[in-house]
Amino acid sequence: MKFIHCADLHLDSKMSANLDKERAKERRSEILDTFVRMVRYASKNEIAAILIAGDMFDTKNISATVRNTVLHSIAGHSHITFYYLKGNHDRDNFLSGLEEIPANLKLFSSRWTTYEEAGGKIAVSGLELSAENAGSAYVSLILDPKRFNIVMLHGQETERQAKDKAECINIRALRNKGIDYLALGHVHAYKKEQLDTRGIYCYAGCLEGRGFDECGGHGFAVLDIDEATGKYTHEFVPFAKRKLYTVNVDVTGCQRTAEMVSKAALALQQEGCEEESLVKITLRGMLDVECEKDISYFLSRFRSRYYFVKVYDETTLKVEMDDYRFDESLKGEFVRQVMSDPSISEEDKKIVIRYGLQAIAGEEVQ
Amino acid sequence: MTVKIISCYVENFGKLHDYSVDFSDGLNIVCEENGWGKSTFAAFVRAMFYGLEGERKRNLLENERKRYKPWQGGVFGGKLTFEIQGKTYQISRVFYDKEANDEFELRDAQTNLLSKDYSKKIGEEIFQINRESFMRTIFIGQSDCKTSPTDDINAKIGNLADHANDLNHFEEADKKLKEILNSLTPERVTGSIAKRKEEIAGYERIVQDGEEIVESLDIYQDLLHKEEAKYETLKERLKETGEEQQKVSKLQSVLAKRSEWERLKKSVLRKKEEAQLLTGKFPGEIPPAEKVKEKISECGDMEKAFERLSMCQVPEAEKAELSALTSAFQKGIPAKEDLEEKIGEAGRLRKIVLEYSSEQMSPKERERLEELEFCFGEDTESVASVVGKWNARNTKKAALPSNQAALTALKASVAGKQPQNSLKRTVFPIIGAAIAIMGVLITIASFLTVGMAMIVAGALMIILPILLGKKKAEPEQNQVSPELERLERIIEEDMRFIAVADQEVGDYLQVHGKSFDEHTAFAALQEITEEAVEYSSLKKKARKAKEGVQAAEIETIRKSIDTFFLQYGIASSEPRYADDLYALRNKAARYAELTLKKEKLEKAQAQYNAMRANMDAFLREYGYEPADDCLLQLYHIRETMEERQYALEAFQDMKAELNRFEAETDIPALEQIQTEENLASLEELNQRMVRLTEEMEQVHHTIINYNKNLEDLQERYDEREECRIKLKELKALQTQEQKKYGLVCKARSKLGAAKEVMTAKYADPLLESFGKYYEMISGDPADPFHIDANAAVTVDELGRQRDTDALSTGYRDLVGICLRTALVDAMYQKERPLLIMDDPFTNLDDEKMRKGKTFLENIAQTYQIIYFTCSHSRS
Repeated sequence: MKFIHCADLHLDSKMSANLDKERAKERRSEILDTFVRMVRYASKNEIAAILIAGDMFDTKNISATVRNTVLHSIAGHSHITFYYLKGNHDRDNFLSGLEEIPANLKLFSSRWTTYEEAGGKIAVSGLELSAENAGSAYVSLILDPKRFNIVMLHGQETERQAKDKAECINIRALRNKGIDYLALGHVHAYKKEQLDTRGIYCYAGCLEGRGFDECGGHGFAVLDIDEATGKYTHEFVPFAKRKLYTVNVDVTGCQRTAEMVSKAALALQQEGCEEESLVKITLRGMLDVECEKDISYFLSRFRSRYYFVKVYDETTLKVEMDDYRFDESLKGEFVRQVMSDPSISEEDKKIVIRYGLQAIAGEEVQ
Repeated sequence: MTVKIISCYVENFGKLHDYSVDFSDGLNIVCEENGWGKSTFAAFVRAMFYGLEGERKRNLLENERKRYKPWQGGVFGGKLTFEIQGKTYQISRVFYDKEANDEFELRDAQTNLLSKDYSKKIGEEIFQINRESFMRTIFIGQSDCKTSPTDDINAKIGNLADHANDLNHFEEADKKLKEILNSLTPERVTGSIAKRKEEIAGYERIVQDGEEIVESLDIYQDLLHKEEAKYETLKERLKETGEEQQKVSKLQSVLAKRSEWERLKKSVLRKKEEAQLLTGKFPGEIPPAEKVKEKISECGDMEKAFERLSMCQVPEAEKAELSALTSAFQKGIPAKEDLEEKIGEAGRLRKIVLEYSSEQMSPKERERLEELEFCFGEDTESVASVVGKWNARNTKKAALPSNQAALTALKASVAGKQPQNSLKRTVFPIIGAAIAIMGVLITIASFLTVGMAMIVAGALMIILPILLGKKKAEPEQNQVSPELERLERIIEEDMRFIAVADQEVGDYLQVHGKSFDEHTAFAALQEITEEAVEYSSLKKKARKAKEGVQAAEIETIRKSIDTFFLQYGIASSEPRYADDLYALRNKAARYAELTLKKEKLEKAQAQYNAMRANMDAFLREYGYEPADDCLLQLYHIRETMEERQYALEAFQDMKAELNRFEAETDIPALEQIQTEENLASLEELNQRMVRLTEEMEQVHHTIINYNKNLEDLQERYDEREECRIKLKELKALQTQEQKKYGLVCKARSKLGAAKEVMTAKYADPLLESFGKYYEMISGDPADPFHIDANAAVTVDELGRQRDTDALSTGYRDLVGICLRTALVDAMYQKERPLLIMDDPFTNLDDEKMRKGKTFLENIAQTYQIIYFTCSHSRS
């Protein structure tokens, strides 16, 4: 029997941190579409159930499109059971207003709820953590060791008890409870670890990366359980439509923008950045104060290749004071003037010098 | 780099045309009167080095291309030969409408070959200053002595142009930085920082205002959760109520059975009581239904009997009449047959009496009979026979003339003459017509037969000739003879018969006392016929009177009738017999009628009484006191009986139902049921469910509204979030730009400071040079004057340094000339350029003018000076 374990879909996420309004809207649609694609994948690959370990939605109020699309997908795949455990982002207005909850949508509450699969050979238990039940959650979990036990929780793993903290999951307290597979949500990167001698715990990560703190591959885990033996396989399936990359480029010694572009292109290639991805390039290293550097031009060189590009200029300037010490020119005098001013910080001095030199050189001051 | 102009040739420039001039080393004075074109020539020299200025200026004074366009037309330009570093070059320039079309040519004056040593920017290349700097230093214009150093001047002063050449970029760099600062400045509304400040303030307001959205969202979320919890509670309650309803429904079923059992038992009791009550309504034994039915039927008969009795009632008048008739017929009632017989006898008596009276002849009749006896007693022939004979005689006589006429005509035709034939054809009709007319007249005169015969004969005479004329034209001759004979024989026979008839009729008339006349004979025969009838009647009456049998019969009948009347004491006589008999018959009939009525009444009364007695006996038998309306009483009895019967049946049915129910139901279980006192009824539960459903609908509606509000708020929240993000971005950008603004400010400040340091290095030599020239012209010491790092001249005046603008015009010019020369000294410490002076001493007084000349002579030893003036006093 096959299960999909996914979490942190964050449907209806605003996506406006990096993207403009139109792109954010497009990206929101892509995330919703990835969920729909995942359900289709489940249908094609004989997945019996989908475990959604929290944060299916992102906002307090879910838009009608998202709500209707999700419900339509669930109701339209009655042969798949959807186990939906609410996370810290989820509110139950997803289902409010519904006269009848689809029969194949199984919900959890602040008490342990167990559903049976495969004629009782597999049990899916879940609990929605809250400040009230955080203390008793682990003690009250009693599982039948004869079954294949899947437990769903949403929160940050810890190795110790965090009193009254709903968002924390005490991994230690869940050991030796008879758990075969602890399906977790909350951490946006995929992670699989041994829980105890019997079971494992897994964060499926988010389905789609949304920000540059969610770089790398995203998707869901597929759990294939042999009901007879209780043995299973576990596989991570990358499924995101787009990937996010953060690439650091050392441009030390570059005197021109073109050199920096070349270095960045090489770094992106080495990183394996696919086209239509979301890329953040951070320029680092030390540049000569008089070097030519045009960030706008630099950005324009990559903008057409990727879905979204962001450039952070974290380079520092290098001023060779010996070059200007005996320079009788205006430039030399200017550098000496700046460098001798104790009211200006060292970093600012470099910028001021750069501005001044750019102005004297008739270049764009930036 | 010593530059000196050797010669100039002005082809056309302003008002100057085809003007040549040579210059030598040292001072070259061009003293011409006003309007000659000295300033134009000075501009020409400048244009040869720098081209024309103010290309795009609309002002004629500023736009040299327009200003100096040749008045007289022709080629706009000229040539200038100069020497630099021992080499002589000739500049040729031709100006056109725009700079791009201008021609520039540089030739080596010694070889006359085109030289590429300098470009068309030869001024900048030779003097290493731009046009503006040239104007501020080398070119000293009229009323334009005041000067200030430009970047080029400063660069030249700093003598840096050769190795660094960056001081002359100061202004550009400063301008760029200033532009950046202007574009960023928070001080003016045009600055992006100032603009963004407004924008940020706007977004801050939105974000701040949006705080309440968050609160509202939370409030609505709470409200929503409450409503949802309420909905769940209601749902749970509905579920519980449903379960309770099911429970009550089950209990209700058992309770309903027990209730049904109780009801059945009560019904049995009630039905029994009802039957008993109805049984108690009977005073005695309950009569059999059949008997009651029979009696009711008898009541119908009794009613009919009563009706009959009512109908047979005899009125009092009739009773009196009957009494009278009874006394009248004490002796008996005449039998109907007797009465009819006597009535018949009375009728017969009247008839016989009448007949007897009519059959008796009167004396007159007897006399007449005798008279007629005489006339007809001897008749051998009846009058009718005579009349017939007379009529036959008249017929023949009537036909006789026509036959005779026919005979005459026939005879004429036999003669065989044609004219005769035609004559016969014309004469015969005329004669025929005359005979017919006569016949008509005779008929009118009462001789009908004769008249008719004549008419027929006349007609024949008219028609016959015509017929004969047509048909018998040829054979006529042969057929006439037999016809003629026949006619002659007929006429003869008829005449004989007429004669015999006349004789016999005459005789007859005579016997009866009438005379014969052919014309009155018929009337006489008529009279005789009437008399014959009278005679016959009288003879018959006479014969009956002779018979005399009726009188005896009359008497017999009278006696019979009188005897009959006497039996009933009635006195009657002829002719009242019939009337009295009819009256008696009527009385007898009336008596019989009334008697019959009386008998019927008595019979009906007897029948009714018997029935009533029977009925009363029946009622009494069952304990009832008979009522007047016994039928109604019987109906009541029957109704009560039926009610009792129904009650008994109902009782039996109910009992059977109870038995059946008890047989089918677990009665002990029913008896053991304990009902919960607080258990709601199904109706109550149903109402409760309806209420809960309504409440749920309301809550659901509220939830929908809250969700809608939340969606609206979320939308606003999203907008606010977008504003917040935008605000964050703007603030970040603002911080970035503010930092940049500060750093650019610092850069500009430091750049300015650097420039000042650079220029300050040459301020003392400049002041020294300035002082030298000032003292040379003014004769005064230059101690009050100061020159700053920017080569700006100030003068001590009234205890503080003041701008030279505060000086008089003459002194200002003086300061300007001295400063320009000092700047040139500073700029060109080794190589000396020429100096072009366009009458700069116009504002100097004579003393200073005199010293100015000395000044010129002195500097002319260092520089080539081209000095333009309009005054010999200044030349």
